[in-house]
Amino acid sequence: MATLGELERSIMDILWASDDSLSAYDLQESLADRKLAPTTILTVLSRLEKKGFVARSRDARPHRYTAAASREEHMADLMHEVLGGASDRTAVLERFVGQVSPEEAETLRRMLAGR
Amino acid sequence: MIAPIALAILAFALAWPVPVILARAAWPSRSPAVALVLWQAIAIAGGLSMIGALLTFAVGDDLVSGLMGLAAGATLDLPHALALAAAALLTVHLLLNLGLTVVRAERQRRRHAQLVSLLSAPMAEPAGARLIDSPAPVAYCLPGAMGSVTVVSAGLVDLLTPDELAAVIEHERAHASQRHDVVLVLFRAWHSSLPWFPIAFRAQREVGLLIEMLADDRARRVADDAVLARAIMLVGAGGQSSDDPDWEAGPSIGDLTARITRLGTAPLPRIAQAAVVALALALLAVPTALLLTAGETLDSGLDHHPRVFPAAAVVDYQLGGSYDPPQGVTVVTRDSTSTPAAGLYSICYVNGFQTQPGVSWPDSLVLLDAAGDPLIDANWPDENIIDISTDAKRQAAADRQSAAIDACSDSGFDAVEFDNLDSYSRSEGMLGMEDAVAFASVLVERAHDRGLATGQKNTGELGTRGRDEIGFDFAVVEECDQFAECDSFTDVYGDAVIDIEYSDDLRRPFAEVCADPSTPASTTLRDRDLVAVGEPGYVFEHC
Repeated sequence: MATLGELERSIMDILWASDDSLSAYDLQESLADRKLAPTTILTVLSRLEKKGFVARSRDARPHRYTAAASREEHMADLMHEVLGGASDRTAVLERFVGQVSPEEAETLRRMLAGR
Repeated sequence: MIAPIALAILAFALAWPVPVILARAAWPSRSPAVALVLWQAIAIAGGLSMIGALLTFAVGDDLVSGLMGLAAGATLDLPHALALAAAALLTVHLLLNLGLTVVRAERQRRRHAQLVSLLSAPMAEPAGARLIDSPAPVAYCLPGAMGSVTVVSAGLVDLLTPDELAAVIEHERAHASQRHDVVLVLFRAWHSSLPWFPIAFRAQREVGLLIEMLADDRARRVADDAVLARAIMLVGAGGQSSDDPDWEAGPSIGDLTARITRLGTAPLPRIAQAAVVALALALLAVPTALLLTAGETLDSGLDHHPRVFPAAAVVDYQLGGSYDPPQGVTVVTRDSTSTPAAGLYSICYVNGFQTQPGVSWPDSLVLLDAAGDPLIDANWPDENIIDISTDAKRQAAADRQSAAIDACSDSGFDAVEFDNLDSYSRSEGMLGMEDAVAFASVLVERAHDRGLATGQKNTGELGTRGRDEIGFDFAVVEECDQFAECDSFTDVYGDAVIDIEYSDDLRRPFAEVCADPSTPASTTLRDRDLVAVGEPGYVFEHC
């Protein structure tokens, strides 16, 4: 499970870094050190496509893949969920994150200094 | 009416003053775990008593038999029907919101976990945590049944010293291992069920804060208080400024202050903690007990107590056939196979102590003569006297009579009279008054259980035993003027006595009967065959 997740991440990293769309063979080449079978890569790609992270172009043979959204866009989504915005945030996360105003922070600093 | 009122008071207390007091109290921050138990109990008991108050109001104190009565086809008047509908709606609303909250949270968690797995890399130290490449100082725990993930941002690693970071990660692991998401889900659902209700929001906040404190306590195992306090402050205050209008659940300065200052306080003494847990259990037990065992009687009728016999009534005695009662009649007696008179106090006739003509009983339950044939009562040659000489026979006979009692209750009669209570006097010594008292007591208890008042039939010899030992609520007498024994009934039952005189056997004119002050107020003259109106011989007069 974890290794499959890591493979998904590696493939996404390559797609995010690439300006062009890539085929499964391109990806296999980029990941040559892992000695992966083409079917493994195709399986992971179709999983990513199903989750909406990858877009597939069927015009060419072999099919070519691109990232559906940039890494930065995804990161912004994620941080938005963590830091606020998503109304039911606490449903997902138990957080140690904070949002207090600068004045409040100053009060806290003073309080801690006085300890 | 005790249960609905008690439950309503409890529901109100748990909805408003109790959460406010608890939210203001100082002690919860000293022992967050027991305070959380109490909060959970308040939420569950509050919901239970709110629904319970409506439900018990709708169907009577005794919920179980009340609902059984409803299932058996009893009907409700408008206010009670509305209360029942409200109880059902509230239950569905709360459960639906709980379900939706859980499903939505799970969907969101899965989506978030996918993003995290693509955007973060495993950290070498501490093991199991993942590093996300974001400048905001953030650590959080993503709960999951398959194992949870602690996510730490690059910004946080930059901000904190290694020992502060260790404290933060231990804090997050506590959230995961203690399944704080499950603790919170009830309050989240409560808040989303009642979004207009400020206390629900407040409760969710308080519980959220207590959960942070609980996780802080875990972090204290790996970090000393000063390190933890710094970590709380840095992470809490170090985020970007809050310009997001949706941001409402983030830690306020008050929350952060509370988390830091409590580090210097001692937990509650063990005995106080035990007391809080006991209080929480009691909170849950009280509405549950009120719901399940409320009500001293176990009526399955919707009217918890049988309707009181209306004194000084105008009675029609319709055993020979049912018909629309004459104008002015307020009480009607009809056979158990008939239906009650609409709008009138209706008494159901059950031949309690003899077999009905045409209904066959086993030989073991009727009195037999020396020859082994059923004993014949000369007055009623087609009825046999039921053998009620032993406890076992009385139970078996009562089981057979229960069908008639149930029919009376189900078709809506208010009361029942058990005829031939005095059959022991015709049993040629095989039965005694004690047998009649014992059997009548069983029948009356069953009738009361079905919400029926009970009438003693004749048998003035019983004196006060009919009322005091058996539990009869009123008396139905035939020809007490003819036999000059009306006093023995009115002395015991007062106004709650029906007397039926028969036109073929009056000892004086009916007007004189009525004029006699010792005659019961509810006295009616009928023809002996009690024929229906319009048939030959029909007589109906009343005092």
